[in-house]
Amino acid sequence: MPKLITADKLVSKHLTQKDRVLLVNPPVEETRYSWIRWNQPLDLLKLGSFLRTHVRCEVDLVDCMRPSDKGEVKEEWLPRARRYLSIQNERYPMRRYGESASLVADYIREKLATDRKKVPTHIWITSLCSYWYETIAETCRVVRQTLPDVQIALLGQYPRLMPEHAKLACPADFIVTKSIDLEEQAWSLDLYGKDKPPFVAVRLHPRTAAEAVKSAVENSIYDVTFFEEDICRDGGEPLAEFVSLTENLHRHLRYHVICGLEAASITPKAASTLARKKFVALSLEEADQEGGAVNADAYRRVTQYLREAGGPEQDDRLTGFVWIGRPNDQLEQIIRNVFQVLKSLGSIILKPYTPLPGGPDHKAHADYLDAIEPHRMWSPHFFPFAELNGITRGEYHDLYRMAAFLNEKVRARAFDFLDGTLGAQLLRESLRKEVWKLEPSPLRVVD
Amino acid sequence: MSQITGELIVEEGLDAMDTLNPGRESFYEESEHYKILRRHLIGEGERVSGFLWKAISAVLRRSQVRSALADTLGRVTLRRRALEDVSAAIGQLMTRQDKMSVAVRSMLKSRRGEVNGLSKAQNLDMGLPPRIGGLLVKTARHLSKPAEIDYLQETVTLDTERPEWNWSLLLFDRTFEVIHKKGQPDQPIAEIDLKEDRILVNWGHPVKLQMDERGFLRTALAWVIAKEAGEKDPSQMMDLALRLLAFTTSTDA
Repeated sequence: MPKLITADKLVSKHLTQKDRVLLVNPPVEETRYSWIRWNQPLDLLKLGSFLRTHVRCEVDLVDCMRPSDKGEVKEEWLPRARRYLSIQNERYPMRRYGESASLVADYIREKLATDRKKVPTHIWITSLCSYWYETIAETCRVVRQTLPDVQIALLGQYPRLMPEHAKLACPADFIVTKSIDLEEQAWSLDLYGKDKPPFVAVRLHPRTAAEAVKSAVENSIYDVTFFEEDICRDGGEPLAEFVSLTENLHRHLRYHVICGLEAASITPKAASTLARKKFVALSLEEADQEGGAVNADAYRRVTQYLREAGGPEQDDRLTGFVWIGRPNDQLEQIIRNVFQVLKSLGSIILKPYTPLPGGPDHKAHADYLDAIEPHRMWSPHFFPFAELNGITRGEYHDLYRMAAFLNEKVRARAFDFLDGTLGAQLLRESLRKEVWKLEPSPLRVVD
Repeated sequence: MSQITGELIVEEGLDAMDTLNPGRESFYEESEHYKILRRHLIGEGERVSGFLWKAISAVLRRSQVRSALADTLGRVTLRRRALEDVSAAIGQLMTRQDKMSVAVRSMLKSRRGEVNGLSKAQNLDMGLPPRIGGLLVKTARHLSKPAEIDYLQETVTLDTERPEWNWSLLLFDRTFEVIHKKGQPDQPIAEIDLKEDRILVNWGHPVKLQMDERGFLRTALAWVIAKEAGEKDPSQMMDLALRLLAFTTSTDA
């Protein structure tokens, strides 16, 4: 039975200079994975650097999710019996994203064949989301089969949020329930060896992040993204410092803001940083206000700040997230939110929601959520709150279709192809009234 | 034979004037030198022999050896895949944490050692064949490919460190040795010995006649695990066996 342990204890009690640690970013089985090209195990990269400098042991990395130079990640249908997952009346096609766990077995066999002194003594497997545990368990199995005596540890969100589940589901030795604070840990992409990913992900500790970007540029990697909950925190000071340290490293350097851009945190100073041309994508988190409606003023303020900072009149880099799948969702409110965001920004992305195990929404709906088994059903793409809020999964799919339609652009402006306001107005009305339904539910009539 | 062409180079001793026709594209058939060359090249009479026969035989032999080797490796790969399927199916089942996973967990914790007859049956050797395509089989570790053929030494070297040659079966956190038995048709299809960590498979069972090796191995393992974990509950036994059989690791997309 695996042992629950903190990362500090794992390192101090079970690791020596003589050990060889293989860090593994496992594949993912999901029905869709929109941000796949931005998957990078930043926790492992930092941990690897920490182990090299503090424990002085050998560290290597197998990243099953590493994108190719073109930003592509392998994806494959799941085998026959698991190819579709049925929930209520919806059938979800299932795919494996990334290289299968046999990549880890191949790595081990290659070391066994060429140099047994390089065979890992520890294999540590990370996890990004708790509901992706199946591939973590499969990676454990493959490792255990190939190298029976190796010490296997689980890291990341899954063991942290669901330690008891991990204990029963994975043939590991250690379940790491608390990670080491590596916020200020310097790191680089060196762990990847010669097959480096096409981008570098950073958190906003400006000095260490700048060093990582510098190292990436030396390897001809020019795309930078941020794994940060609030990019413009502290008035945008850390972001400004990071940009000033890195923007002149190479003329092709590009910043991609894929998450953590909170409208409330964007000040005129932060906007002056974001307005620079090197920021090629700005994905704005939904600006909520009471009652589930988006805060239109927040979007207006952001676009105004960006214009004043020298950004273009119609800033096509801006995309707005709109939450779907939350416990209190109302279909008509989501549609209103979509149009509200589109008024200010170039396009929208629907962001499916799932609660954090043990978080406020889980506590508030504990009985309802705990009845959802297996835990993989908590994936936001399966809309775990659908039965609670009364919006069917089919209706959520209609929302996706609507979003795709609305994001169609001519000359980079949403609705230009309707060439006027009347068409747009009629479409809005039609969508609000759900005219595609022959017999609309009396509970869902908007007007 | 009509499709075989070649170039014959005679470096010395050939009486070109009396042997080759003026266009140099053919021989005079009555030439003695031609008759000697013909005898060494394709032999005499109806049957082909000589150098050409040796060359054709060598080509055919290579083809036969490669085919026999592919067959051997294919069979062991399929057998290994059957074990992988069952191992992965159990792994996936354990993540679900439902009634069935509790039953399997309970089985894997047990140290019962109740085997009935199959342990006494004769072992069936499913290891290395002594010869492949007529060539002697040798073993080696960590080759760059699964097998190497040496036609001069007349040997085939197999890399037995590869997983295909491994008969261990990992069931969650416990490894079992799969042992092949030449049991009687009325003996169980398989038995699990939780005391000695081994699973005995009866290749003499009549079900074997209805399916290929991979299918039989999967069926036997699924059946015995379901029986042992099912704890005498027939519906749970059936559910478990069907779930194990439905699971596969290979994609056919």
